[in-house]
Amino acid sequence: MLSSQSLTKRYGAETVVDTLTLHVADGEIYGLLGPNGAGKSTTIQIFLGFVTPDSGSRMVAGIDVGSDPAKARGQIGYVPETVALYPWLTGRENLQFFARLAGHSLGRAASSALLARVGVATEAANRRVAEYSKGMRQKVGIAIALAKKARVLFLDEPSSGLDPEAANELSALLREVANDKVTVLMATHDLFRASEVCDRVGIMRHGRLMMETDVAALTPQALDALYLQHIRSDR
Amino acid sequence: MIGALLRHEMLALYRNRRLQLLGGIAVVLLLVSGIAGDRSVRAAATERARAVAQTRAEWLAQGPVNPHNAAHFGSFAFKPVGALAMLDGGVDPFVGTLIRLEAHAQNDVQYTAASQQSALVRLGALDPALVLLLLVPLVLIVVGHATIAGERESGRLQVMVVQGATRSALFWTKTAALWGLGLCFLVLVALQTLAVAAWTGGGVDSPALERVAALMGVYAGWLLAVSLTVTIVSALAQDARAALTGLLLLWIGAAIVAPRIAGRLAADRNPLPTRRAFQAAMRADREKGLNGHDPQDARVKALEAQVLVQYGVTNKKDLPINFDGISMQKDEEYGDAVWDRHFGALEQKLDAQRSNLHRVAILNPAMAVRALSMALAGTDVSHARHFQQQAETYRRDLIQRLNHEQAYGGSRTDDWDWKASTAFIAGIPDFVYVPPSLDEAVARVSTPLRALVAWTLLLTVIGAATGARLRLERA
Repeated sequence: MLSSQSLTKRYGAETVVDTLTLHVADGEIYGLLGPNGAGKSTTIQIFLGFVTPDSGSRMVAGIDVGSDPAKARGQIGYVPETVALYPWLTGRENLQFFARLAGHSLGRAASSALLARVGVATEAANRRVAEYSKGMRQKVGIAIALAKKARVLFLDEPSSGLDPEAANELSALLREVANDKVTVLMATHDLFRASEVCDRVGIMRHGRLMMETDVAALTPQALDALYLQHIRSDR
Repeated sequence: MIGALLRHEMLALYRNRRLQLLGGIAVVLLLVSGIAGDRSVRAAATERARAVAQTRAEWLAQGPVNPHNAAHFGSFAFKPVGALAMLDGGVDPFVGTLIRLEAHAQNDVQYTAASQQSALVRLGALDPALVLLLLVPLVLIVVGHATIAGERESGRLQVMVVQGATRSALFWTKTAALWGLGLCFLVLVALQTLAVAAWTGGGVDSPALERVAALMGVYAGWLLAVSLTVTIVSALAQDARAALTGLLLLWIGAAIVAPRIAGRLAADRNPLPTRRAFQAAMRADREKGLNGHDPQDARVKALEAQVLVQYGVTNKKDLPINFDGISMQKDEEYGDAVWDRHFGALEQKLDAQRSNLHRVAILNPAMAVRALSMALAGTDVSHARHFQQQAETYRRDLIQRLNHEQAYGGSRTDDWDWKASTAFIAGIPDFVYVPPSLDEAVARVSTPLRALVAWTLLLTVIGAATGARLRLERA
């Protein structure tokens, strides 16, 4: 699980994350919604320990990120918006390299099995990533997190630039990951995908969490209306 | 984790297309310069051996000869050309490796400021040292400028840290990989040098090996400093393009602009006379002295009076020795004093120029390496002067022996037909140049050596600080 208490981050006069209090349970998929500049990515950066908040605290898998960011990162998988793989390595080589950094040595069979689990066939696994679609890269990115046996997975705009089929596959994959008790926090402004895959969503604006809601009871249209209501509330 | 990162960096370099192209060009240049150097060293060694043998044969072929004729017949001093000169030609192409040895004719080699300054001055004479000094760093810059900046732009740095890599490990493995690449070129040069040494000289003697090892140490330090600079700039720059621009500007400044300015300043502050002016001044001073060839010269007359008194005779025809030999030697000694004075002044200026250049090298490690490289290869101005001084010492000894034989070998004054024996002529040994020891050579470049060590240490400290605070997020 992950949680934060009154997390605040300012850049000069601008407050980019404003007293954010969040709690995401084990196996839960939480969607952080909001327009560009709402503070979603900064929130993820704070949880990763790359940005230090001005006040407040945050925990990842029971570890205080502020006091031991390296230990906390040991429990984290991270898939940035542009999946950062080496284009001149194959999908398998990327997986093996990033897994090795986490202390896991994956042989050919183990890497094939993991890649197959996220939907990358053996033939594709042996091709250079330069030839991959964004959806394929997302899958390898998630495989890297799985290889690490991360307990918390952060995804930044995971469905951005994906075609509908790839986005559907990603949603299914995230559900499968969550079923293994992995906590997932994804920052997105794709309301349709959020309503499809998330258990709960929170809507951010100007760094503040405006509201949180369970998604199960909402149709995509209802979520859309809710989102617009909070984004436009004091324009 | 360090092993994984290092293996990964090596693989990245191996698959880097820019490196394949530039590295290939650098290797070709190294091989071409090595082959050209090998041919030139072999040709020079063969030529030298033939010339030494021929000079000796001609010297002996004089047979019984008047010593003064032998003094004007003269000889030659050859500076050995070895594999180290193939590695770094230094100033040898400017000042030469051959000195004519003759009575009354001291060598008047002039050293230009250009011979001490920019390595680019001698781009035409591309040698492996130049490739290591300028071109390999250029390869490291082109290949390594994005090593951190590019990773950061792509977002991979953050993912790697999330996966467990530390900032410092990322910095140092990237630096190590670049340095390793540079060392590959260095190993190629070392093997090439040893191969040339083995082919040309029938083996490498211990002093030469020491010098090759020291040279490799200097270039290893230089390539470490370059690798650190590339990684530090890549880490601090806004993006890869800014890193490349900054590094190329540094390269141009260190390799082209600074040495030219330093050379110009050194020459302006301690200008050397032109060859014509130098020779005119020497001639003017020389004419103030005794002329051993002119019996009517007033100073010769005074010397003659002294010698007559010494031997208790009134006419030089009655002397039991040959006065001509004595007056020739006095003439020679006066010439030596004039030479010492003029060359002393010239050498002071050269020393001042060298000190100025070495001081500038404190600010520019490329110049420090240039000075160290030439010194260790035995091709810097100090070595040229060392060779010249030994040749001059030999010349003085040779002429003094010949004059002594003329004076006391059994002939009488004005007996120009008298001939020294073949055994005497054969008993005069050839000139054999003994280069300074490695310690002596290093002592003359202690400032550049300290500068290189200090730069490498400073960059290591800056690298450690930069690595520990490595910025992971995009600008």
